[in-house]
Amino acid sequence: MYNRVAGALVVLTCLGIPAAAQDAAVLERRLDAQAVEARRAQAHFEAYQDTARHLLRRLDTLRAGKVVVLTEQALKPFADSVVRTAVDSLQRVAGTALARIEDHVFVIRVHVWNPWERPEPGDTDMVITVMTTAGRTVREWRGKKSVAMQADGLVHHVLYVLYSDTDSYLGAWLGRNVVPDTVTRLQWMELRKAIVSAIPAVSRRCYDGDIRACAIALELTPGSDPIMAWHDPASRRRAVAVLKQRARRHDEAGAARCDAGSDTDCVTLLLRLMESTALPPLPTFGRTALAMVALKLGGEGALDRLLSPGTMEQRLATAARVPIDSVLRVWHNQVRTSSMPSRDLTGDIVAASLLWIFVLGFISTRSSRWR
Amino acid sequence: MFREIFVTQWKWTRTVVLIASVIAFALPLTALQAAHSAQNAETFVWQMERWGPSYSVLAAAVGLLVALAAWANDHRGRHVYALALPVSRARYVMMRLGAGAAFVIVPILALLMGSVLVAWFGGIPTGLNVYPVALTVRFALAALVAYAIFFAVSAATPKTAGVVLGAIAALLLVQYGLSVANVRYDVLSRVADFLFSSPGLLSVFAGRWMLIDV
Repeated sequence: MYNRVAGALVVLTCLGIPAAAQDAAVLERRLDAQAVEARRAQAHFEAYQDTARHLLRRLDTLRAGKVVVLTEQALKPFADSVVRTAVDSLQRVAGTALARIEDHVFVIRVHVWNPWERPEPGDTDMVITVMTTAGRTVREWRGKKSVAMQADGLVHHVLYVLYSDTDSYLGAWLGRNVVPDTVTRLQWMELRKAIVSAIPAVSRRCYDGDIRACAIALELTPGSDPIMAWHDPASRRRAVAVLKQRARRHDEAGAARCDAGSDTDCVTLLLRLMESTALPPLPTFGRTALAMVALKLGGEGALDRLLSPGTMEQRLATAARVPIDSVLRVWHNQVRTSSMPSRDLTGDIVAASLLWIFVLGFISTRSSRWR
Repeated sequence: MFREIFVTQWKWTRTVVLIASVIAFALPLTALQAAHSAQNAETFVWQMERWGPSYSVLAAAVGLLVALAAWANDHRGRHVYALALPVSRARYVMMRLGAGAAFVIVPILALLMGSVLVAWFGGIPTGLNVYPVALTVRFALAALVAYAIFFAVSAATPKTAGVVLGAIAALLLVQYGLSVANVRYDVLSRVADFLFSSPGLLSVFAGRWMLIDV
């Protein structure tokens, strides 16, 4: 609805542009008409917000500390089970930080199937809608009607509100992701692969042990120029080579000079393309893994400290209660040293194969040809 | 008696085994050669992954050809010689099975040699690991499972083969009938899941076959 209002205002404004050429009376009538439309759009928007607030008031309320869950009367027992299952997890992970979500509510309702959906008989999906008390919808999520699944969904979305909706700076740094409880060895290994595959030179320096390079690659301090901070001349040349189609469209001669070794042309091209942020030194997961490390090091109250003001470098150090270099060293060590046996050969596969070999061997001896 | 069976079966099987061994030795080296053109570790791993199915196909082929070679001459002679031997029939089958299994080991060792060469001299990108032993063990299990399957089929009567083929045909017919009746139940997917997911008969063939991985 809000977009319609904005769109209506833009259209009305565009309609008003030719009025400069018309006489004053016509202009005045146009302005009056626009004012009437704007007031009507504003009334629609306020009515929508009133409807959302009215809807919220009609639902039953469940509370788990600072977490407010709304649901219909018929779903109250189910929602109560969900909240009870979720609350321990939330207290353990978020602790005192939960006070920051006071102006958010979580609505649990049954999903109404769309005409093009073909559910199995007896299937019921539930929807968790995250809203502010002012009626703004933050996010919606749908899952099967299972207490465990809905509890996981509720925990995830409470954390999403904490990380992304209450703190836009942290949310942007985390790429609107939730910091996981733990990072598996496989995820650390995939992160290592991404780091050694990245184009920017700062990624390789980070992998080789330069902790300051890791801080740059993780964008812990805002303001540095990515083209100069992330790259050296060789990696700028590689970056332009990766983007060569677009580079040639912009400046074919400059792309050729860059390829021949002219760093000035490489810098000019990258500035024009503004694509250096499309070749990030680390995937966003690297940052969420770093946040996870800081929270684990910091223990109780770490999340609350992470949400305090400051640059990411300051926040992570405060959350972990150790200098940022120590946090980065732990993170770097995990990236470098995580390993596991081959994923392609598991105990199940070995056991099943040996079993079938013996069974088939036995069957061969029991063939009627041989009896 | 096992020695005689071993020697005669080797004569029937050696060509197949030697060709399979050469292919098994060359496969890791060829995959590495193809992956060396990759610009970064991610692309390198992707290139290696593309060669993964080759290992499972080779394992299945080795099992099939060695099993067929084990019984081809007996089938031609209508098992007269086998039935005339002064050993129990079950023991005779076990000796044939054991001899064939021993021959399957040759291409397995060849694959291990090729994989170890890749590990020692391959110039693997930083951050990646080589798994020569895991790949070879998996190849060995796959080849032996394939050998056991085709050995059992070859050792069986035509009636048994007919039963197996009939069962497959019946599955296809049932799936067709269900789709005509507009019943949303995928029988073939269920059967495929049963066979290929652990601990199914063919589960060793499913999944990734990675000599080099993260």
